[in-house]
Amino acid sequence: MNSQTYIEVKNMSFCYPRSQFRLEDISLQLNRNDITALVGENGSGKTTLGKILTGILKPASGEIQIGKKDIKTLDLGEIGKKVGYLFQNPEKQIFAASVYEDVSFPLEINGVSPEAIKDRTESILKELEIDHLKDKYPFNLSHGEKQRVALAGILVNETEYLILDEPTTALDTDRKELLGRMLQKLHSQGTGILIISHDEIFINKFCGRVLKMKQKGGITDEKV
Amino acid sequence: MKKFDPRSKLIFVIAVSSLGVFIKDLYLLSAVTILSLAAAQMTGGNIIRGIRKLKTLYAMIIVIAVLQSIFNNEGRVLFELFEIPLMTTAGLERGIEFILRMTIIIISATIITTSTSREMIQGLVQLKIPYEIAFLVSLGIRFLPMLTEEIKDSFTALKLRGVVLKNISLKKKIRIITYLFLPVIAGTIKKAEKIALSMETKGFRAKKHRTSYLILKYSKSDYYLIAFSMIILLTFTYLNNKLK
Ligand SMILES: Nc1ncnc2c1ncn2[C@@H]1O[C@H](COP(=O)(O)OP(=O)(O)OP(=O)(O)O)[C@@H](O)[C@H]1O
Ligand SMILES: [Mg+2]
Repeated sequence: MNSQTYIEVKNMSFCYPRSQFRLEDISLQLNRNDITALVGENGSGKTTLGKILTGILKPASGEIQIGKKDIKTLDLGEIGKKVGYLFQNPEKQIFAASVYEDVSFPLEINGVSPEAIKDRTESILKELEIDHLKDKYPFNLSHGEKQRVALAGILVNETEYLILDEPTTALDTDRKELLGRMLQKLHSQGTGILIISHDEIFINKFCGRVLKMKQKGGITDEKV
Repeated sequence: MKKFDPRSKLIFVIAVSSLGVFIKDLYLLSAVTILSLAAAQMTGGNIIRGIRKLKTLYAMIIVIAVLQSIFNNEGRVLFELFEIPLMTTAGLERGIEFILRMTIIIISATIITTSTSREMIQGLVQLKIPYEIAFLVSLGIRFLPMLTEEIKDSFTALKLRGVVLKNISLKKKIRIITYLFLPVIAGTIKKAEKIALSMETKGFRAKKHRTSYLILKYSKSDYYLIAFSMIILLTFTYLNNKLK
């Protein structure tokens, strides 16, 4: 076992209540010193696996550890402080009436000091080039803008690991480049990253390890 | 399995659920519960799913039974602590009555869901209810489960933003709830806009009179079901009054 292992999955199986789809006996380790890509056909279970790793879905059997702790002992809020998860549909994780408030409110609720909140929120908005939108109503933004607002909302937590479900789908070429460079910077600071994506160019450029979902619910490791 | 007309199902459900609400006697209530279960079975309602929905409510039996035992000085004491009657026969009865009532309502609702919404609308229209209102009702019924699903998802996503709910003040909890509703309302409005647009493109209310390809006809079994509904409605009302 790698000393940098952050998320460990052992013999995990999963099935949805009313569906044929299943994941069977999956074992894998996700490390903090990698930017890992998770690829596979539509419907192969990438989003499902991502949701299992963040505790949204509960596996039928097997074990999952995040930072050496059994996922069953953590509640979703605690997981959210360790692992940032970007939904495939960013609208699902936007809550407040302005972009600034949306990015900052979890910090407020968790009792971070006002100065630190202001600092962290403003710098993340600037970095993602959405500081000009900070007073806007998030639900009326474009898809690519929403995606970056949602991303800001999870990056502001400064988590040790990130799972991003198709973060590049709505981004233009420049914004993809921007995202890639941001992820590289976070990676150099010690954040582990898993990117679920179909974007081969992006993966080839930024990811050092590629996991591939196969039909019948298996998974293989393919180095680029 | 017989296919009943949505109108006769509706009549049965109205009869049984109003009995469920106003009957006071435990034995009569149990009989109505059994009748509604039998009818659900006959019409092909999903009883298991209905019961699963009630699962959380079953815990309420105990709460209601204990509260009724403490504050309602009737019945024989079954169990007491420091002279406080924690469980009396009357309290236990109230708890069971509550759960039987809920069972009757949920189970009869599963009977309704065995008709498609199109059949239900047509049923209401043929009962002389204006099409617009019938459509609205069925749309509302469709929307409700979607809404609860959405609120659940939204809550999960909110917690995953790193919000730990333990040990926070009431003020913050209320704030969190307001955050929960914003995406749900925004999502619902969007869906409603889409529905409105598609209704428009399909010419909803473009002409005064609507013709329908689907015309419902009562069959023999429908007349039996309606007669049966009337009989149990009258009998149980009579028995309920007599036992008072
Ligand atoms: N809530 C659910 N209930 C039942 N089945 C589901 C549910 N969500 C997804 N599935 C099924 O699970 C399978 C995997 O879905 P998943 O969303 O994980 O695929 P994916 O690899 O992320 O696809 P994509 O590339 O399109 O995002 C699909 O066959 C889907 O139909
Ligand atoms: Mg997906």
